[in-house]
Amino acid sequence: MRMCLSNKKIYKTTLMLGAIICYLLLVVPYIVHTNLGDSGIVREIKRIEAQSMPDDIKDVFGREKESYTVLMVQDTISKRSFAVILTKNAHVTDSVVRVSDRIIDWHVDWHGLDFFGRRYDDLIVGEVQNPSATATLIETILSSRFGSTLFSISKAVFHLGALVLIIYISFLFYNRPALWNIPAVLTCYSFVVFWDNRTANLYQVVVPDMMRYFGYMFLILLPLTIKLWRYEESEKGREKLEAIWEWITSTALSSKK
Amino acid sequence: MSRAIFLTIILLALLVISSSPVDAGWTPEEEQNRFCITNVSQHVFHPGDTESVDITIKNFERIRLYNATIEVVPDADGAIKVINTPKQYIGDIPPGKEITVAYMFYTDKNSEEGVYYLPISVKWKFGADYSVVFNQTLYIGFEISGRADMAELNILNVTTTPAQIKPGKNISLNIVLENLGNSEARSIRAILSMGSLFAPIQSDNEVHISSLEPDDTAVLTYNMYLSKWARGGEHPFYLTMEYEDDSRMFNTKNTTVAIVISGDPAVYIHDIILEPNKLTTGSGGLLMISLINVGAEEVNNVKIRITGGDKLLTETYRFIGSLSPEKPVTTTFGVYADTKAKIGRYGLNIDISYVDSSGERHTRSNLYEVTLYPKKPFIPKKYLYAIGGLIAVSILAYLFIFIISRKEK
Repeated sequence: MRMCLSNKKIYKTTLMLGAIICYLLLVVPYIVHTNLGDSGIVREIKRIEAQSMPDDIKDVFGREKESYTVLMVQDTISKRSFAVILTKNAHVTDSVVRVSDRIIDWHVDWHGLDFFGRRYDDLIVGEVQNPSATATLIETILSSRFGSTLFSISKAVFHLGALVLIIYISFLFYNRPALWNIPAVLTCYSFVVFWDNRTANLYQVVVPDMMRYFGYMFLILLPLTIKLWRYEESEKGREKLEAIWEWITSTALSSKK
Repeated sequence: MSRAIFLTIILLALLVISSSPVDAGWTPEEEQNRFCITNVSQHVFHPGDTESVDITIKNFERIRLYNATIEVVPDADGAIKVINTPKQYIGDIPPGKEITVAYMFYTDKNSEEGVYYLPISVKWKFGADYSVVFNQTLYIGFEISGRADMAELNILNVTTTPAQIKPGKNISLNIVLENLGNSEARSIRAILSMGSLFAPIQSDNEVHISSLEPDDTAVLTYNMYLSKWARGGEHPFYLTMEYEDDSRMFNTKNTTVAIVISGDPAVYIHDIILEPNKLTTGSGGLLMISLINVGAEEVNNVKIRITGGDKLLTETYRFIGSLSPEKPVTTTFGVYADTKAKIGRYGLNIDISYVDSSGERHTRSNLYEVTLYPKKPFIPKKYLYAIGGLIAVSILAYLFIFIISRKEK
């Protein structure tokens, strides 16, 4: 009987760890993609001769160049295209790039600055670079056929995953929600926001103050969750919890009447 | 008494002696024939001529003549006038010696045909008595024979290839020359002063023509490159023509020809004003664009089209019409930032098109940056957060108090 119970616990623990790993893996595409800023796949590269380039753009460079390299970059998810006039480096088509430095970032009408003969929404004068290997891999996956679906799932997991995960764990072990679920959900949110903030810092994306402070909240919330969980596991705590449950159910029933 | 008369006579005698010409330095002149004219280089003139004439005189006496001078004494109203100094010093003239002097004569343009005599006065001294000056008047006969045959070079026409001259292009300037005179023009050398904006191609700025008969025409062709920095308008050239004809060996004629350079695109944006200068979503205003024509000629059919501002502007096209040089014209576009417009910076592409006097169409594009800011919320975000936090704390506090009170019961 003990052996049987132990196996069940191992099984539940394995399921819980699997769920946590799945949760953490699934939030990665959303965190990476949203923090890359203006990024995407290089769809086309054009060399534009100096005489074809508008004077106002040439003035930005400060000196006359014989030709200019222009990239057509397409966002992997929104499919929004933007043109980047490079100041320095050259890149190859189908590579993943992100705008690392920008001098000009304009919403433009592509007809007036027709470099590729097809639509683009924004014109950026600046520099692009290849993101990290992980980000490149994720962007490459997102640019595939199932990329949009994967990104939608990732987005949903980022916003609702913590709640679902904690409730799932709670039901897995106790067949009911518990009081520690509340700080646990907040801990999970705080942790993914912290992760999100760290990724944003890596790519020089500005993080709002509120989000930054919330990102550090898991350091307080995690011990609080553990403490509350232990308290609920103890005899005293269990009694109190039952009392509260009774009160909630009685209140709910009385309000129905 | 007799003594007084005697003294008076002596005084009068002394006075007469002291007032004599020799004592006063006055030189008496005596007419003598000692010279003859042996040669005159030119006898025939035409009205308006300026010619150098050599006159040779000879001392036909057997004695040496000293301090000789020669002077042409023309009549002030005469047809022939001396340009250089009329009186020339010759010096001592040995017996039988010839002396040649050169004079520059000018014949009046309106002088009548005929023979004119010009008096020449020669003065000298000789012998031990240097105080006595002798002179002789000689006469030279000149004929004024009417107007000489002259070449008259005139510019008949000036054309360019191509007809419309643009800066930064090669051009050929063709000057049609006509001889309106009655003499053949020979060894014509036509020098064109081009200026710094023009550079000759495959030749220099000189054209040579061996001869041009009366009533004939010749074309002077100058190939040149026009600098791309040249501005539109009229550009003069100074043409100097050197030639010879029947009347004289060297003639010069200076004249000016001009070409018209069609201006490069000459309409520019003079000023842009966005009112209000900070544009927020849902707000309206005006975008004023001022154009100026810095060229030399009026341009027509001036139009402005703005692209890239569909969600910011109420209209994107304006027809202006004609634009005179140096007179700015302002046109206005309505601004209304759509509430759905993306926040950020917009690069408005302002395209200006116009037609110049030759009918050629020009376009010019400029990018103008407009920043769209988000509309300020009625309640700022920080107040919303504060209200939310307050509500959450109130609910928690209420629940806490409610639970405690229930438990106590």
